[in-house]
Amino acid sequence: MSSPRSPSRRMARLIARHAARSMPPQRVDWALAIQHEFEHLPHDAPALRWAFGCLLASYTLRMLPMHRKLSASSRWVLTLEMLVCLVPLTWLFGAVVIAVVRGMVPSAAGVLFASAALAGPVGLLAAVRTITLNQGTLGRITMVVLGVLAAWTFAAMTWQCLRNHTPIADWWRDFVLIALLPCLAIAHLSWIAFSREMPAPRSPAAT
Amino acid sequence: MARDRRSSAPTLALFAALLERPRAWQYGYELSQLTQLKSGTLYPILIRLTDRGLLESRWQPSAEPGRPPRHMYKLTAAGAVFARDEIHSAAGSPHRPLSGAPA
Repeated sequence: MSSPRSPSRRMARLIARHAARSMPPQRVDWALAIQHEFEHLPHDAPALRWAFGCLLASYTLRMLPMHRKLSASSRWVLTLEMLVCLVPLTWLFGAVVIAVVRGMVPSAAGVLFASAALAGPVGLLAAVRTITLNQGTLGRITMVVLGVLAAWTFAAMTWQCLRNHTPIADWWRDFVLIALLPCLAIAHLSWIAFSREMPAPRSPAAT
Repeated sequence: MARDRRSSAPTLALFAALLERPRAWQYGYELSQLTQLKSGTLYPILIRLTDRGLLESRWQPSAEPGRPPRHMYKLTAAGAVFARDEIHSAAGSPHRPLSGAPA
């Protein structure tokens, strides 16, 4: 058993107390559970890791209700956000596909470019599903696919801008509209899906 | 109990740990050690399972003087049935390990 007065233990205790205080008010019993459990940990290093984990859990539980359910107004805002962020990339995807079909672009280059723009239409479909399903969530496979597509879009479009020495004045179009905003939109969709998976706080539970 | 998705790997690891001694009350740090789950993963799962009526909790006065009571957990009857069902379902799926590592 390590000393309860060691600097590491004191820091861990401060973090654990802060974690307990950061819990939503409906979770007061869980806040006490975390704090009391900490007092039984025998060694400093596990206690510090435990305290940091509790802090993460508290912050997560505190933030989740903010994102759990889309109100009517926030649904309209989300719709607008998704249109602004994902329509330009979707339009680019369509243009590339049409160019390939008409033989205006070599097939290999066209397919590669289309894959880098695929996050647009796929993200838009996921956004429609998120907006229309008030409490449902995107599946984990969907979220992973979206994440991979977004990462690929970001890498490919950034590389394209750097390779072509795109003038800085045109980056808002070639980078911000085509790479950055779609990735942010997909990150937001993933966060909404993640937050809907987590438990909702309820009235104080008798335990 | 109706469910819309299967349990995650950390949840399955917790179910497995709780089912090893289904009638015993276990505390958070003990469950963390059994499952290798960090507290930041463990407590949200405990909270979710308690909210769904799959887990019950109680306060246990500490045997050591000067120490606060501890929160103890065990599966409810419905929770034990659900946990066994989830573990059997996961065992039939090749991509769902029962380790405590986050999926």
